[in-house]
Amino acid sequence: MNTEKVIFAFFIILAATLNFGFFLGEIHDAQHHNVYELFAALVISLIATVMKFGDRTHLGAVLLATSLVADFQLIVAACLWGYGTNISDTGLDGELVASVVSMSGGALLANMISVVLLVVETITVRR
Amino acid sequence: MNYVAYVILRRLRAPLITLILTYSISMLGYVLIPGVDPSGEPYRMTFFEALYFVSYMGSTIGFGELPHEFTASQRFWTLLCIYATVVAWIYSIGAVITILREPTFILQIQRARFRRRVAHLREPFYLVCGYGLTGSAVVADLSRRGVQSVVVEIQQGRIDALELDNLPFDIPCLCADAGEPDVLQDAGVSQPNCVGVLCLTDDDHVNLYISLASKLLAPKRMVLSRVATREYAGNMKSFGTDHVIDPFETFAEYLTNAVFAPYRQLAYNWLISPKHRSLQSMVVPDAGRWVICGFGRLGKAIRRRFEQQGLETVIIEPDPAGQAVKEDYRVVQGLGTEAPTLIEADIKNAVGIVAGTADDANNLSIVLTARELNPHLMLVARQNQHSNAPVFNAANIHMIMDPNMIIAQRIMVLIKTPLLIRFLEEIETHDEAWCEKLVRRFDLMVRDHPLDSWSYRVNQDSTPALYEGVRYGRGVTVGHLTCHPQDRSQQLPAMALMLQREGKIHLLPEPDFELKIDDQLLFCGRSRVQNTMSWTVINSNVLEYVISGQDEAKGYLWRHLFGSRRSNG
Repeated sequence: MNTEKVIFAFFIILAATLNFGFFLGEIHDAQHHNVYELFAALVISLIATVMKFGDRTHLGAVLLATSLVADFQLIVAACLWGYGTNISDTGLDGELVASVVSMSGGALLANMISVVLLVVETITVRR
Repeated sequence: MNYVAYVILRRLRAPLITLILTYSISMLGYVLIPGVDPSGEPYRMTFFEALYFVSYMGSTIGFGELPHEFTASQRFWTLLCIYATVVAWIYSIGAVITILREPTFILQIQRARFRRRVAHLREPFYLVCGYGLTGSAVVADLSRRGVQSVVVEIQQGRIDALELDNLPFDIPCLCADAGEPDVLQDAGVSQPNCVGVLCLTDDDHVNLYISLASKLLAPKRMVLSRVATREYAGNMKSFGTDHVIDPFETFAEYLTNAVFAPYRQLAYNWLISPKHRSLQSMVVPDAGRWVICGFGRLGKAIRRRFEQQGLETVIIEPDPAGQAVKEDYRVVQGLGTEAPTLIEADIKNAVGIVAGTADDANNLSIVLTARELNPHLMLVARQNQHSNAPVFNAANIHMIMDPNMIIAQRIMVLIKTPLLIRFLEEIETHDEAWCEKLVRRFDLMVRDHPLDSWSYRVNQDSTPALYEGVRYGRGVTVGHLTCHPQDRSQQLPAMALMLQREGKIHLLPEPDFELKIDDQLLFCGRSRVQNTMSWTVINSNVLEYVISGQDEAKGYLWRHLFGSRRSNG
């Protein structure tokens, strides 16, 4: 058993589940989407990315790439949320919430790919 | 280079995760802890405000309590966060600096830079492994001739010396074990512009490794290696090392030549080393008995050659049993530095002495004591340390053997021009009288100036003027080339040594020898004459002047307008 791999799997799956939790719900409705969940998903995704730094295998590089994609999407989502709550005159309206949730949906896809890759890697290790 | 990036990223994992965690926990605290706005209403920070506050707090910029004055619980949290973020930053920055200062990391960076520089070399270069006395002499000589080299050396001190040597070229150097194949690969052994590999480390085994690896990685590459023992020499030759140089064997050959064919030896010496011995300094030793002090590698090599030529020798050796001296040798036990030992070896009736021990002070002492006892001796001394050169020169010794210089000279001969090697081989087949005539011609030509040799080939690329002249039947001869390009009544201090035509050798061609296309010519002369001669070889106007004595019309128009008039008149 490789402890590093287990911890990494924990973060990858946690990032995916948090992301999924945030994504669930009516796309326009701010009530269905918890900002704390978005925050947690972003932080966990960043940690998962950093944990893949310096992996010289091809699979490791692909995992890093998908994590970076998820980070990027989540950061854009967080920025949109921040814009809505602090800067926008109309506040966090349905349109903005829809953008935030669709960005997090993209991140969810990337996180899912990460999970699939992780599962593939785990299956190929016959120990 | 990628490897370096991976190492950095891997080391950065822990600091980065620490930063992310510290920041996210701090932010979360501010969002969760309730505050009040100026009107006393309960207020909670948004994530945006929390990020803003933590960012300027963590970097200790400190804009105050924003957006509203804090409550006691918020201040309590701030107190914790200040210390947490500052410590996280100090830890992260410290980690980065540690990576940058780590020797392995610095080595990786240097290696990557070296690899890049070698890969970007466009001109042909020699890979020199080992930058000791021999290596530095060879690299300096190569640079002087405008040839690029790449150096791999295991001692950092010598690499530093290379940087201080102030060579005209920027020479890529790496501190690494050249015996490792990937080091050789980085040093460009399989690059097409690598002309040859010179193994000049002090360790025979390392040299063997380098030769092997370069022969396997790049089978066509010329490999030259120095060796100190015969077993290794045989081993290296067995897998096709192109040149194996044993300094002791080389010097023994040199010395034997000096004793039996002094003029041939002098001609050879003049051609291979720019700082030659003067003709006056030549000593022709009488036939007779030689005393050899020190029966190590040098002593054995000399003894074997003298024996082949039928010369009688006496050996002085402090430990005859240890050196496995044969029964029938005449051996005196001792160092040879004291008069009684030398007298026991019958120095008074000997013709020469070889001080061949591994200790410079002993060698000098042997030579000086021997001269006291017999002023007519021919003195030969081995100089182990390069720094002792002034003392050895002052001692007025007939022949000084500096192993490093011998190897360096030998290598330069091999590298210089293949024609010169051919010529030196030809010298071997001629007798002393012929060689004496040759040396006297050299002496008339250059006197005390350095003698250099160079070669031309009659073809379109390297000698366009010669090529044209020969093609249009202008009757270009060897003599035309040795005329001064500005005043053809003057002779350049240079002479043609050899002309090679379709594999056939013409030694010392006469001035009226006519050239043909694809001839190869070997010249020697004062060292700067080559530049002057290149005028005649490359510029067809100069060649025309040298042939006809007339300055030709230069441009097409001029030739068209006035060229025909001259031919009419």
